Amino acid sequence: MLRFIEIGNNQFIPAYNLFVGFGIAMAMLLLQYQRLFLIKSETEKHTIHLSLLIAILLGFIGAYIFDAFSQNITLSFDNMNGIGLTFLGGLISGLIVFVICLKMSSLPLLPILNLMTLPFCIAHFFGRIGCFMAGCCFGKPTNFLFGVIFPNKSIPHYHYQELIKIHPTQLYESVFILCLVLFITKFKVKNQFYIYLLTYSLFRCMVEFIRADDRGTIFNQDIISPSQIMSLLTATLVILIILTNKILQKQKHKWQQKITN
Amino acid sequence: MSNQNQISNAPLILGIIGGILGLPAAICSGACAAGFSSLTDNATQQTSDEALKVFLWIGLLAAFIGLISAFLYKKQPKFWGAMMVLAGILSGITLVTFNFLSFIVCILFLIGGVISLTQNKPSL
Repeated sequence: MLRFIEIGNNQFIPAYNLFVGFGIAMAMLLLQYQRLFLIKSETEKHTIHLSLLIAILLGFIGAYIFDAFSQNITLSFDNMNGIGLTFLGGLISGLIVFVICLKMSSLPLLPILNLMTLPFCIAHFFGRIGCFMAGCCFGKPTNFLFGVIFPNKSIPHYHYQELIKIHPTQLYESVFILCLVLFITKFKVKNQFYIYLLTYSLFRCMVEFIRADDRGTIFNQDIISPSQIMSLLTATLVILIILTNKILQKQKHKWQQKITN
Repeated sequence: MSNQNQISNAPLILGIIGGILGLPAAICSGACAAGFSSLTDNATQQTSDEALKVFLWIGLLAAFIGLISAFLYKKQPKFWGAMMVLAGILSGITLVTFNFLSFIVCILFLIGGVISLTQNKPSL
């Protein structure tokens, strides 16, 4: 919408970077004041910070690699300008790296992931606002009430070659994340991380149907986009983990009852 | 409540925003340097490319160091504060390309670095 924020005579700040930076900064600030983070030791806090730093850096690389893979672009220095970032690719790769770092430091996995959920939602929210400002991740044409016309020389304008009302899919995601934050805080949800991952995967799968930017292809078909496949796999994995945990808890309870009897 | 909570969060905010903005600043610096280089006498494609690479890598290094300092300064405020100041100086070097974004990044890192340098290490 406003790709570059003008701050002086021919001087600009790229809006996407500003919002992403602001989002990560606000997320880290929120983390510092979380009750469960405050009671941790300094070593644990430092380890979490270090793990987050590594996860964020490698997550960006993962987002880059996933985009190259889905766009069938060979990774090389010559092709770098043609490759963008894919949020789901970054989320999954960053998450894997974060989990590995926590495991290596012998820190409890799920409590820390639950602790990170709200800060991560904040970063995600601002990141998507940044996407809206940059004009990337745009939607299909619509006459819907919330349809938006992006200005001249924006990415959607270059794509459609006219000023046309389109779905602001970036804002749909931002609103969804905001509603999720309110839901998690109001109802004091226990397994926040699972809720975030499951609901966002399903929501992302639905939103992909109204996305119009180049989604890339996978398995030589263009019915389901690579991000939809990633979303469905993520949702399936989360459901399997939840069910497995429940079964294991029941088994443990039965064994404990047998022992006491 | 641990002593670490008395450490300011300002370097965290400033360092992260500076680090993320440092990426386009580095690209702008490189492009501006290549542009200025091509205007000089005896300019060649090679000199322009070299100017681009030098300023691009200085800018990226500054962004990288500033971002790392933002995440790790709470345990060793003085060391990482100094590193953030170094990142600010490196960003300042790219100001010769008259890139205003680099100026913003430089200021953010310098302020964050100085605040971190004035913090005391948390006692155990």
